[in-house]
Amino acid sequence: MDISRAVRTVRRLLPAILLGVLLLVGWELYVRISGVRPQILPAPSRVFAQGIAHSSDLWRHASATLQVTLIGCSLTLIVSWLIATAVDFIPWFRLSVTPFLVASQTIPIVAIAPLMIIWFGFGTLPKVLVIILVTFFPITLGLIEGFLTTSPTATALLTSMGASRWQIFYRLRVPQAMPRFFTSLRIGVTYAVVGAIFAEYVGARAGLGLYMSAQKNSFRTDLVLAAVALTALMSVALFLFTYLVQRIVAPWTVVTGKDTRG
Amino acid sequence: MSANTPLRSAPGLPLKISNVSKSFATNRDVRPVLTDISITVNRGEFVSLIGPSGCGKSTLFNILAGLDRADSGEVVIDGVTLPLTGSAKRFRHRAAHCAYMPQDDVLFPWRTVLDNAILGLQIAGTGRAEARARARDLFPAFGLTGFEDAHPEHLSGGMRQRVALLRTVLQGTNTLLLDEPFGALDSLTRTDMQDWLHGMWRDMGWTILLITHDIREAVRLSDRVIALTPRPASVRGIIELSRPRGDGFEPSITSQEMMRAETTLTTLLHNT
Repeated sequence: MDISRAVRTVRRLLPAILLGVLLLVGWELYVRISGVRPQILPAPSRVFAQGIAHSSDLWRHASATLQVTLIGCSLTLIVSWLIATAVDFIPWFRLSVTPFLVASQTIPIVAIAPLMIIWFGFGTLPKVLVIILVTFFPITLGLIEGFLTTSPTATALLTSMGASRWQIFYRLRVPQAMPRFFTSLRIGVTYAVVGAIFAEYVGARAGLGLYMSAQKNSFRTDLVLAAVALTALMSVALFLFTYLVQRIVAPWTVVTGKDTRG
Repeated sequence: MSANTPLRSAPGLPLKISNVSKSFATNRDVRPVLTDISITVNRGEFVSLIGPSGCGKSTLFNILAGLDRADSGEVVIDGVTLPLTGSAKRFRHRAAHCAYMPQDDVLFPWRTVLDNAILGLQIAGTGRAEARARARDLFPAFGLTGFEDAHPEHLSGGMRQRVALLRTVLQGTNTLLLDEPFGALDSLTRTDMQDWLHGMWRDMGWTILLITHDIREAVRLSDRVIALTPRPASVRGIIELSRPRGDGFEPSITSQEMMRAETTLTTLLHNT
């Protein structure tokens, strides 16, 4: 990690940072000049200060949310790999599973989340189920389609070498599917946090969703927004984390943007 | 050179194709692709198959590589008859098929050059360490020394083809099936690679069946050129080329015989 590389990274991030600062400054100025009440719209400085003041509360709820998110994502990963693998090996299974995959995505979470609470109580299980419901579809579909992108020539080559179906799967189809898998994983983890927040909003013992709901009821708009900011941070962190994992698991899919030819 | 010579030496001709025919059934009719093809390749021979695009050369190769079946006929590789026309869904003939090098190099970006080269060995069940050791022995001959741990995207087109050929050779079969291996290369690299392949063929004692639609390539490299008709393919003519050409192989010099052969082939291929 040399200096020139760090400089490049900063340069790439600079436009986004500038825009963010500009928006915050605009918001701050608007609140100060118009004198709108903080219960309606608090200034970003207030959101930040109050967030710091309530940081231990926020942290407790955030860690609960993070926990269910990670459990939900892990379970989704296991289930989607199992199903995508089965689909890849058994053609008729694809036909029978696909309609249900699509259907699972059309279930309105608004309707199903409260039912989950009724069925499974206020614990971890209903949240995890909601997360699986929202993340399962993109990840499984990404995997199934990733397997399908395998080039027929490469398959022919392995077949001519006498490879079994299983050898073709793990030597060719799995690595071939990695780019799509990680793209869908990124979509999945971003949905996951939102799913977790929603499930907690409906009913929970802890979690940012519950916190937002409670603070809204006591007109603490500033704390609701602080929790929103924390949610966004968490999503971005998970999003970036997938890049880290990708770099370790499938380094050949990571475009360095630097020509290492020589 | 013990590590460099083909590993199996079975009795009989390396490759004998007798009266192979194949047709594809479309929903309207049955289209013949190959009609009554017979080709014999002797040990250590370099034979080229040349024919118009889409004439069915690749179908023939797929049959030899165990990827496709024929309707009738017989293929014997190293004394082993391929189960060509069986009705079984899986008709793979693990032991008997030729080592097949497809048109694209098909190098895997997730594998290093060394690990790409050992793919066939790994599929055949050789342990990674042993496979790597065997591949390493051949790196100097293939001009790939120093690139063992590089990834394929950092190689030039010519080097990629050499890795693909190394992978093919390492499968340890006697007969190499090369499907237009230099088709995607620029003409300079192409000529270099032809010279190189020729030198390797001479030193290593490979038996090669090459598909090409480059008349000059076929004439420069082969002992025998087999011209195929347009689809459905059948053998139109066979041209024998003597060796050595002049004093030793001088591929960049077009001798009289080579010119004559090129003319004959052009006439064969263009008069339909």
